[in-house]
Amino acid sequence: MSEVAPDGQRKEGKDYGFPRPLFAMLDKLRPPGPLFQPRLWRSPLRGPWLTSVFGSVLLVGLPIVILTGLLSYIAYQPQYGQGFPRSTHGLHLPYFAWPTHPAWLYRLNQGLHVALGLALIPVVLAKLWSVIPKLFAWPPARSAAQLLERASLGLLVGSILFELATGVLNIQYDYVFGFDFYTAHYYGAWVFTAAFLVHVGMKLPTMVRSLRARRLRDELRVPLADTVPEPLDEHGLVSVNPAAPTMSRRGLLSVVGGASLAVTAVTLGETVGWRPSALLAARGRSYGNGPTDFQINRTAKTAQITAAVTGADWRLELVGTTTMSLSRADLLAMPQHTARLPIACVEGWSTEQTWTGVRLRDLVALAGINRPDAGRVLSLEKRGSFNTAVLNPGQLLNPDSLLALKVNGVDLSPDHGYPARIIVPAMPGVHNTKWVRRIELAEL
Amino acid sequence: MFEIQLVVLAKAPIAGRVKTRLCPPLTGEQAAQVAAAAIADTVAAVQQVQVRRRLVALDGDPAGLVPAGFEVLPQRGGGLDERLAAAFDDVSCDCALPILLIGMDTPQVTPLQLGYAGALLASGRPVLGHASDGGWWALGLEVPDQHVFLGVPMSTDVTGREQEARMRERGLDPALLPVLRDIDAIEDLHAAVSVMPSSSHLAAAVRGLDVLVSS
Repeated sequence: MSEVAPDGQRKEGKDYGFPRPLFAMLDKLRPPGPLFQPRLWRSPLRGPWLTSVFGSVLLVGLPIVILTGLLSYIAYQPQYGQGFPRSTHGLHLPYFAWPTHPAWLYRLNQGLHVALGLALIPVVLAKLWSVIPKLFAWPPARSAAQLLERASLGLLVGSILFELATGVLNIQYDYVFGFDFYTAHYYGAWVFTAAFLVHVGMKLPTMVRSLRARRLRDELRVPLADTVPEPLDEHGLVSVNPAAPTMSRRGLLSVVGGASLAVTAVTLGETVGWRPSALLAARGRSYGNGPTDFQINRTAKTAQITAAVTGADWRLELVGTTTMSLSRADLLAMPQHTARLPIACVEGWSTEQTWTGVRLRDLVALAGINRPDAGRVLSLEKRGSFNTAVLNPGQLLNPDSLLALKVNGVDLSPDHGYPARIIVPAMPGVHNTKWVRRIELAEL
Repeated sequence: MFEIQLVVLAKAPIAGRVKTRLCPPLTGEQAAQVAAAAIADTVAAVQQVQVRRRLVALDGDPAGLVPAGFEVLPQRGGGLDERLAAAFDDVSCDCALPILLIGMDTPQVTPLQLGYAGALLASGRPVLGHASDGGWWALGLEVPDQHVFLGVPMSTDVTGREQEARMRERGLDPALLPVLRDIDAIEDLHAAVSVMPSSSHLAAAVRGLDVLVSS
């Protein structure tokens, strides 16, 4: 606990932990200059209540971002060796067969993960701003326990900034970092989760107490003229040398909340399928006009798919109890099924289209397979991490799971996977293999 | 429409003469009911495939077995190899289109599987569908050739392999159809029913069996 002396400096008790001389000496080694002087921090708005308001928003929002992230890892079905990163050394939620109902499941999951992650950036920055005097508190620790606590804060702040930065760079396809995004973002998430749990465990009582000290509704009615600092606190958040306010608390909360809404407004369009509003979306907002004008991650050109391999000589190799070879005409002669299904990318964009083609379960039956084990789909694409995908039995047998030949009533365009592509409800976008050349099935 | 002729090779379901490997646990009468259901399902699958001509090459009395749209052709010859050769010859007498012949022991066959075989055959490719017990369930030829059949040991666990080897000896390169499990023993019956719709004749027949049969 600390008291406030008439000169505005907090008078800290000399309660150092073991080894006492070491921490006492550390206290005396305050670096010169104003940075480590509490008087430097003058905003009259900082205080435990304000920090707790931001904290409570993050307490609700960040677990959703964490959970959707970990679920997305499972959605890639790492039990078939296709998780990213490949190995997590047991650091994952229990594996389960990713479902196909409801069809919008992955769309919702990734929409939440990306949109909420982006919307929380202003809140995270505001919260860090609200506690910045603590970064320069001196001494940095009075005991080994406090040293550990501050180390955990280092992990907390470092990992959330790392996660937000890598996440944003990934959805902008700006791979400036020299490491694998998936591995970094995945392990970073676990570091953050651990630090977050420790932090919540230590600070939840303080947050609840601080929030009870004043009501949000009342605070939102306080104009600039009546804005005064919070009472001095034991945490050192409230300025001991407050300047006159230039903004009310409701003004600050409006700026932060407004920033969140603005970020959401210019990005959510790519998730809900209204691209003109998605100003910050990295993918182009239009792919020409017509029925095949919708989102593409990888073009036929990038994938080095030429007309020569998708022309009349193209055959689907269907490997079941024997290897069958089917032309596009053969497939078009089979019963056609139409389904309106979303493609949802891990990056958060999604788009719902009307697909027509052969049911995968018809191909399973055609191949002489009664109860399929997981099936592998291979693309004509020679390189690329996603030129093959394994589908679980539920994904193979869902009546809306298709080897699509058409979209919105017309043949697939080369960029959308002509002559045939996979589309399965609720499956991560990249597993909906384009330019399919081979499907391998086996009895369970 | 596939430019082929589709023939079901069948034996009239008379108790004691058909599906005797199912007895016990089934009685001869019950085995005959199963056989009748298997023919009905096979014929139903054939009906859903658009082909030029549908036939049943039958050993026995066609009454009640063969629906409209099918021609009945009596089997002739002694051993199964001779009867197969005769069936191909007889079918080709009236019509020269390629012939796909299937047995009655794989009632789970789907119209799609028949269509796949039909498309291959219509394009000039002979086809052979192995059965999981070592036999075969479908064979298609563009031109009948009795030497494809005569002397091939029938109803053994190497019949399919021998049949394929014989086709290759005769200069044919058969496309292989999906492998199907034919109904031989009681476990096969359960396996077939488990993948067939409950509205199928076979499923109904098995439901009607008053003995408790377990796989």
